[in-house]
Amino acid sequence: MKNPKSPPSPRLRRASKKSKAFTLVEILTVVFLGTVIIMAGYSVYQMSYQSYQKNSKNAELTQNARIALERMSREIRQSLEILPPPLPENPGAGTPPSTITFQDGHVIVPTQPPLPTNCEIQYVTYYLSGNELHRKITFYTLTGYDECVLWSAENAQEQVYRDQIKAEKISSLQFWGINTITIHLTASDNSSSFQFETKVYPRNI
Amino acid sequence: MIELLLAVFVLEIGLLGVAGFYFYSLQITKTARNETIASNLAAGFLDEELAQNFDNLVVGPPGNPTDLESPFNNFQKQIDIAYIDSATLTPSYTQTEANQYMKKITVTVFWPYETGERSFQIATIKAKH
Repeated sequence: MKNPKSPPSPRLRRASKKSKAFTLVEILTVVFLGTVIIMAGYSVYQMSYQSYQKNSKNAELTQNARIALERMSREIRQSLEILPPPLPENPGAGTPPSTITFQDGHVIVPTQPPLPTNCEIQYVTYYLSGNELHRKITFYTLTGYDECVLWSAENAQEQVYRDQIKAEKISSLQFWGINTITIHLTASDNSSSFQFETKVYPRNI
Repeated sequence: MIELLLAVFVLEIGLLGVAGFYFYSLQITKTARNETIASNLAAGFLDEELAQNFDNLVVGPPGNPTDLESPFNNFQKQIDIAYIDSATLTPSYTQTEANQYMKKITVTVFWPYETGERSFQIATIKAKH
């Protein structure tokens, strides 16, 4: 019978020592698989970041175009008069302008200074300056009178009340049409460009 | 070793799923943009019909969708005009005593989506007087 407390033989000692360490093949396999996993993880992270960037830019462009188009449509639909020069009937009949001026159909009265007390007649101009869409409010007055008059009144003097930026990243804007006005705009940044179009029938003209 | 390979396989499946999600989010943005374009186009076509005289609005079943001009070649439009009874709001292509004073204009804009198509529909009513 063997004594259980006797030390293991040299052969057994070698074997137990051997089983405690990884072989070179095992280490290389683990390093290789680890690299693959890290690379896959990084590529997913990079893809998600690029996707987020692209999505954000596209959403911002769409939002800009939507706001610009809806705002212009709403105001032109309620306008009381489109100011000259007349718009071409279609893009083939002349170069469509990138600016439009019309009499505002949404004026709130009584008005506050610096506008005259009685200023029911106001004009709105939409125009592009660089890539920014501007909305300018103007009114016409006669010397010595505290009221607004029509643009066509004799000796009427034009004054600018307000000029604000309403949308960005609008690279082109065109208006055409006689009874129904077409608004065509392009929203673009460094990588993408989208075109939007709608038609507006001014109800009050 | 088999355990390790299984773990890597499961992890890869997960990573592919995450990657697929980001492609799907890009697709959603594209869809949202096309819906914005389609809704503006549809509102425009509706206004174009509204600008016409009541009697000039031709009532009848809509034909096949027609292609739009560049740069909206991907989109198609279909316009449906029907008489509508003011009391029952029932549309009909046949004129009657009850429905002759109002017309319902329905505009649908289509665009391709994956293997099929999507559409945006908008409608309004025009009265004779």
